[in-house]
Amino acid sequence: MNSHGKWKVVIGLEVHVQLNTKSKLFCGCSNESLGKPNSRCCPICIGLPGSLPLPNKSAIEKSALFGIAVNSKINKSVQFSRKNYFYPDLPKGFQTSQFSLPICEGGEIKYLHDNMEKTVQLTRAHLEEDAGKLIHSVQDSATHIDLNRCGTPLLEIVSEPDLRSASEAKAYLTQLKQQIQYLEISNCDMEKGQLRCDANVSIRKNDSDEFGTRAEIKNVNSFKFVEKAINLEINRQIDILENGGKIKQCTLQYDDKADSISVLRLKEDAHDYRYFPCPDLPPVFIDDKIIKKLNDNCPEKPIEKVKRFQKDYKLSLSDSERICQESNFANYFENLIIKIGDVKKSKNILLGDISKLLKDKNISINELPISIDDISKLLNFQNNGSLSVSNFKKAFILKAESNNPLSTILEKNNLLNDDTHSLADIVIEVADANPSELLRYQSGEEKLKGFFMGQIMRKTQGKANPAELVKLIEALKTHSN
Amino acid sequence: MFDAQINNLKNNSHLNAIVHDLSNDPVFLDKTDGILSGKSIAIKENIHLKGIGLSCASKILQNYKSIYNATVVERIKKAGGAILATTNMDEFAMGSSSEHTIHGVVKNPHDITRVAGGSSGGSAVAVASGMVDLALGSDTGGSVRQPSAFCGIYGLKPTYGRISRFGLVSYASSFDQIGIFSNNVKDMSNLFESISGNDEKDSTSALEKVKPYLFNEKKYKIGLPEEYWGKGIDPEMRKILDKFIAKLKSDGHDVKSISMPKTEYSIATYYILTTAEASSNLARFDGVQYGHRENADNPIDMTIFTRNFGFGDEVKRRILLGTFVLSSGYYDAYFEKAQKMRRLIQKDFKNAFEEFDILLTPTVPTPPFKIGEKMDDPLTMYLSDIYTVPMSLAGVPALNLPIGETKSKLPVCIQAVGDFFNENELFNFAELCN
Ligand SMILES: [Zn+2]
Repeated sequence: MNSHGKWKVVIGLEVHVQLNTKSKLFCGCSNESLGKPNSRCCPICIGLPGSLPLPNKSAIEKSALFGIAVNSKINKSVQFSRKNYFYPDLPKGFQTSQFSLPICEGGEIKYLHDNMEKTVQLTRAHLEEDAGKLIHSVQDSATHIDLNRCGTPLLEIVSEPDLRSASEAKAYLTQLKQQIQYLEISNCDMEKGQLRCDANVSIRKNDSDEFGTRAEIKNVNSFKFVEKAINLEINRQIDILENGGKIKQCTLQYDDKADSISVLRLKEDAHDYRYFPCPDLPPVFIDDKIIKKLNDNCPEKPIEKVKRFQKDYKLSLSDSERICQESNFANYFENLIIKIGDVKKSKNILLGDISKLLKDKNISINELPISIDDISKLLNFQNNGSLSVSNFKKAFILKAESNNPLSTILEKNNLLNDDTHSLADIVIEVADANPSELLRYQSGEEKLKGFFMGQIMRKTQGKANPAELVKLIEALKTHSN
Repeated sequence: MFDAQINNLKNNSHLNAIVHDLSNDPVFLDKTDGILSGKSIAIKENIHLKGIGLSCASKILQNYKSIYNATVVERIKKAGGAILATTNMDEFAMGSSSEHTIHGVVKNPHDITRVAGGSSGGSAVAVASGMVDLALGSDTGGSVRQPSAFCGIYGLKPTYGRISRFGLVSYASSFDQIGIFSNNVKDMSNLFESISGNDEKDSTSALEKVKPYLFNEKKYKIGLPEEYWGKGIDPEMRKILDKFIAKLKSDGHDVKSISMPKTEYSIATYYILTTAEASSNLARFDGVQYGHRENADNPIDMTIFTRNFGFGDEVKRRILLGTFVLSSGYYDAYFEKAQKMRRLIQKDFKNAFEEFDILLTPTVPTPPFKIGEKMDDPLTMYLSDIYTVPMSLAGVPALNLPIGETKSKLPVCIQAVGDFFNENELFNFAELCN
C-alpha cells in the first residue's frame, strides 16, 4: 500500500531501549529513573579521573535474551568501543558503546499491519551507556546538568530499511515494544524516555531501484509522534523533489507542540566519532551455559501467542490481540480458563469486569486485588442461580475493595438469593450425613449445635443467615429419618 | 619516626620533587601492622589519595582534589605503610624529563643542572635523595624505568595487569602500569607483594596469583637483544655495561645474543597507540564538571578555550596525534596496523622467553641530559624511550637496576626484562647482582 503517488517510501528505525537492570551499565549506582538530580552518581558513571568501568553481566544477558527472542546471531565475545565526541551531558567525552561486533547481529521482527503479517529484518542490536540530561532553567536562565541517567544501559535496536510507510513504522514499533515487554528486559515507559526512536526516511520513484538520500529524525518519544514526524518528512522530501530540488543528508528534530520538523544539522557537520575498542574493558564472554539458560527461559513471541489463542480458544483477532497485549494478562487468561473451564466466560470476565477494575484503579493484572479462586466462586454462584448479574458485579467490586473473606462479603451485603427453603434442605442433608451426631444431639447433647452450625456454614460458604440457621438446628431435635 | 626522611624532604625542596608534603601528619601512619610497617612512601600525583590535591601537574586540574583512594593506596594502608608525599611529574605522565609540569622542573639530585627523567621524575628523586624509602610512579613507556636510571635507583614496571589501575589517572589504558622505586630489592619486593594481585575494580587486572619472593642462588640464561646493543649508546656508559656483562659471563651465567627483529617499529607503534588512547582518556577534561574552566558564550567554545588554556604543549601534541590516527580514513592505516605490530612485538618477547630467563638491555641510551636540552625537540625526546617502550608494548615486566657511575658521578643502570608475571625472577637477578 502506497499512499504517496509515484513515490516509494523507505524507512529504517533505530530504537533505544533502557534496560531494567538493578544497577547501571558500568558501576553499582541504581538504575531507577527517579531521584534528585545528581543523586545516583559515582566516580565511575560521572567519569572522574582514575575511575574504571566494570561491565554489568545482567545488562549483557538481557541484551542476549532479546537477540535470542528475535533470532539474532549472538556474538559471544562482547567488545565495547568508545564513541568519542564532546557534549556537556557526556562527562567522559566519549560514550561506551559497541561498534564492529554488536552483541546481536541480524534477526527479525514479524508484525501485523492491516491484518497482514509483515517482517522487518534487524541489522543489529548493541549495548551502550546513556548520557546525562541538560535542564534549561528559566528561573536563573542557566543550563543545569543532571548526571543521574549517565551510564544507564541502553539496547540500541537497528532495523533494516524495510518499512514502507509511517503506519508500518508505528505497527513495527508497537510489536517491538510488546516483544521487549514480554521479555521483561525493559519497562518501555516512553514518558520516562525508556524507549526512544530515531527514524531514517528516504523516498525514491516507484520505478527506481536506487535509494534516495536519507534524513534522520532524532529522538522521538511516542509512537504517535513517530508516525506524524515521518509523514511530515515524507511530504517535505516529496515537495523538494517535485520542485526539482535535491535532498541533503541531514539530522532533523520533531517538535510535538508545533507538530513540525526542522533541520538540526547537515551531514557536513556530522561528527567523526573515532570509534576504537575500549582499552579499559577486555571482551566479556557469554558462555554456552548462559545461552542455554536464556534459550530455556525465552518466552513465546507475542505474535505467536496471538495466533495460538485465535486457534486454540477460537478468539477473534481483536480479542486475541487485546488479551495478548501484555504477557501477564495473557497468562492470567490461560489460568482463568484452567480454573473456570470455560473459555467464553473467562474471556468475558477478563475483558469485562477485570479490565474495567484494572483501568479504574490504574493497576496491572499482577496487582489485581481479587483472587482467581474468589472469581471462580462468584462464577459458580452465578451459574447455579444464587447470584444475579448485578449482584455479581457488586460482589466483585466489594471483594476487590476488602480483605474480608468472600463469604462474609456476600452474607453481610445479602447478595445471594436468600432461600430459607434451600437452607432447610441443607440442614437436613447435613443431619442425614451425620446420623450418630444427630442421635447424640437429639438425646440432649446441646454442644453439638455448634458442630452442625459449623458444618452447615462451611457447606453454604458462610452465606446462611445465622438466626434462621439456629431455628432450623433447633428443629432438628424432632427430625427423624 | 621518619626523622631522616623528613629532614631530607624539608632540605631538598629545590629539587621540585614533591607536590604535597604530608610528612607533618603522614597518611596511614600506625594504622596497621604489616610488611610495610615503618616504611615511608611517596606517590606520584596521578594516583588518587583521598582529600589531597590531584593536579597531574596540569593547569586543567590545578585545584582538583581527590575524593577516593586508589586501590594501591588502600593496599599500602592495609600493609602498614605510611604516605609522606605526592610527587611531581610530567603533565598527565606525558614526557621523559619531568619538565612539562606546573610545579617546577624536577632536578636530578646527582647534578641539579640535569633532568631527573620522566614522567615519574618526582618519585625517582624522592627515593634517590632519601626523602622516602619507596615511591610509586606510573610507567606507560618507560616513565618509571627511565627516571630510576637517571637517578641511579631500582625501578620496576610490573607485568601489564599486575597492579590495579583503579585510581590511577589514565594516560594510555592498555599500557599504563603503576611501578615502584626503591633503594633496595627487599623494600621493592615487599611493596610489590602488598599492592599487586587481582582487583575487581579494574577489569584489566590479571587473575594471576602473587607468590612471595624468596632469593635463591642460580645461574641465569640471559639474552642480549642485538637491536638494543648497537650504536647510539653513550660510549662511557657502554664500557660500564660491557664490563657488567663480562662479569656475568665470568660468574658462570649463560649469556647469548638474540634478535628481536620488530624492535625498530616500537617507537612508531607506541606513539600511535598511546596517543590514540590518550586523546580519548583526556576528553573528560572539558571544563564542565570539574577542573579549570574558561568562560565562553557556548559550551563548545568553553571546552575549546578550557582545553587550549589548561593543557601544556606536550599533552596537546599527543591529543592531536591521537585524534588524527583514529579519524575516519586513517584508522586502518595507523591504529589498526599499529595494533597488529603490537601483537608481533609481543610475539618477539614470547619467543625470547622460550629460550631465556631474562633479557638485558640498556635502560637509557645516555646519562641524564641537561634541563631544557630537548624541550624544543620532541622527536629526540621520544627516541630517549627507545629501550623501554617495547616492554610496554608487550606487557612484560622490566626492572632498572643501578650498576655503576660515570666519571662525573652520573648513574649507569641496566634493564632486566622478565617473562609475563615473573617479577620475582627480576628481583632475584637484581639481588644476585648486588
Ligand atoms: Zn555510578
